[in-house]
Amino acid sequence: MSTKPPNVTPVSVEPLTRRNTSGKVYKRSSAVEVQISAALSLSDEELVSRASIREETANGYLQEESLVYLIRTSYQRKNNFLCNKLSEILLTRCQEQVAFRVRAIEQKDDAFNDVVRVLFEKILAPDNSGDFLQVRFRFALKRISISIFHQYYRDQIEERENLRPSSFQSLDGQENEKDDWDQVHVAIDSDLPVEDSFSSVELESLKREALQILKEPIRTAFILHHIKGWQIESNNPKEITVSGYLETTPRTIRNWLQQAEKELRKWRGDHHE
Amino acid sequence: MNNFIGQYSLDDVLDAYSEASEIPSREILAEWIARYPQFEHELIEFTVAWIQSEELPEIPGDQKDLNARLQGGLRIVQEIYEKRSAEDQTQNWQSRAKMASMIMEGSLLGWSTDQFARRINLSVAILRKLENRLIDAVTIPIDLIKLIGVSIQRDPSEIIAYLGQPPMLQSGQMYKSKQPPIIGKPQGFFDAIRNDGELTDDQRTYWLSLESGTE
Repeated sequence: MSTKPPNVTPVSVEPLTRRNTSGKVYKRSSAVEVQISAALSLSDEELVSRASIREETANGYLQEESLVYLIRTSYQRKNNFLCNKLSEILLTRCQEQVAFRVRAIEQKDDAFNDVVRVLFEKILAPDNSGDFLQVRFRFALKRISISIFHQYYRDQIEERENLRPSSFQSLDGQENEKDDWDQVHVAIDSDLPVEDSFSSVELESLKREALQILKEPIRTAFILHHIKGWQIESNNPKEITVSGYLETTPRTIRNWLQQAEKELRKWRGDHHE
Repeated sequence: MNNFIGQYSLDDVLDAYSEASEIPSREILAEWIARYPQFEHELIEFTVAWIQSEELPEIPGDQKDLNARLQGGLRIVQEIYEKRSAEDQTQNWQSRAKMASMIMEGSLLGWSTDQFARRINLSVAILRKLENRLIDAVTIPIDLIKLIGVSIQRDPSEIIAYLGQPPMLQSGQMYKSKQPPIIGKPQGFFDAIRNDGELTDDQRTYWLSLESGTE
């Protein structure tokens, strides 16, 4: 008895050629290979219909990795209808993830468009530079989105810096009132009124609101130290520290954190009195 | 353990790094810096950006509704398709062999000389003069050069290069003299238009209307 599924004509799928950092050629998952092979034997309308399925567990669902291959193929075959439709479907699926990454950017629509630009330039690249998109799409998109976020956020900080007088720099070199910052632990959670009535979503929202009042680079120092647990300084030169990253002295970092706490206390008072 | 000693780019490393963990981790960062010390700075910058993109609060900006943003994204996609198509076209032009005959290029696309002449709105006689470079290249309107280029799928620069070569004798013609015939000075394009007996009045009027633009 044949095990071959009916109505499926095997269609060869072009192999990937790029090598990963281990020296091995990237390989699509077998599920993606099967999806692509099956999709290539469908009519344009059937393919669009299948690509429109949003439920991952539904029969006929096409992963983003498969859509990337199919967009490339339809472009190479000059099938504008299919290429445009599949691009729209892929973009719709990406929208939420990209919007999340660029939400702290003032020009978030421009940042969003730049992510789209990089993504589709990779998808259509004549060489193999977009192969990773057919292997781990979600991670590849995350990578692109973070890189674009980085460019925009850096520019945003520079622009703001040019517009305001240096407030934090006045604290450089000042003696700390206390030298026990690592113990004080002014994590936002402890600085906010933690009431039983707050849901985790509300608390998260309050935390983010609190971070909004801090200016750079104090905000990043605060996040790295109090939220991500990075040390301010270390005797181990290989240890990644806040002062090392921000290229300033541990004392300055402590002063920034002190200033952050004052601002957060004031914010708490203003908000919850 | 990664023992591969090869040529990998920062892109490859960051792709692999972003896959190594769902969330940014100082421990994994240290591990990757040890593995790729040449990218230490970039790995740290990327990790901090990763953290910031997850922790920073949303700020109000020029946020559009979801559909408007999607439409904006699709316009970008369209631009990329057009850009890539143009690049592909240029590459095709560059990779093609040097043009030996415009009429032959047309015949490869399935046109007779007569059809080709009609396509570029000229008579067969003037097409043959262009083919044999018997018309002074500098007098030929750029509109015609573009039209020929589009018609035979060649870049206008290739058409200009072809038309700018020395005149040649018409193929198939027989000469009694043992000496090679002397080819006269190329004719001006608009003189050729005025003196051609095959052009329709509309064609002649059209081409002569471009005369002032070339002076």
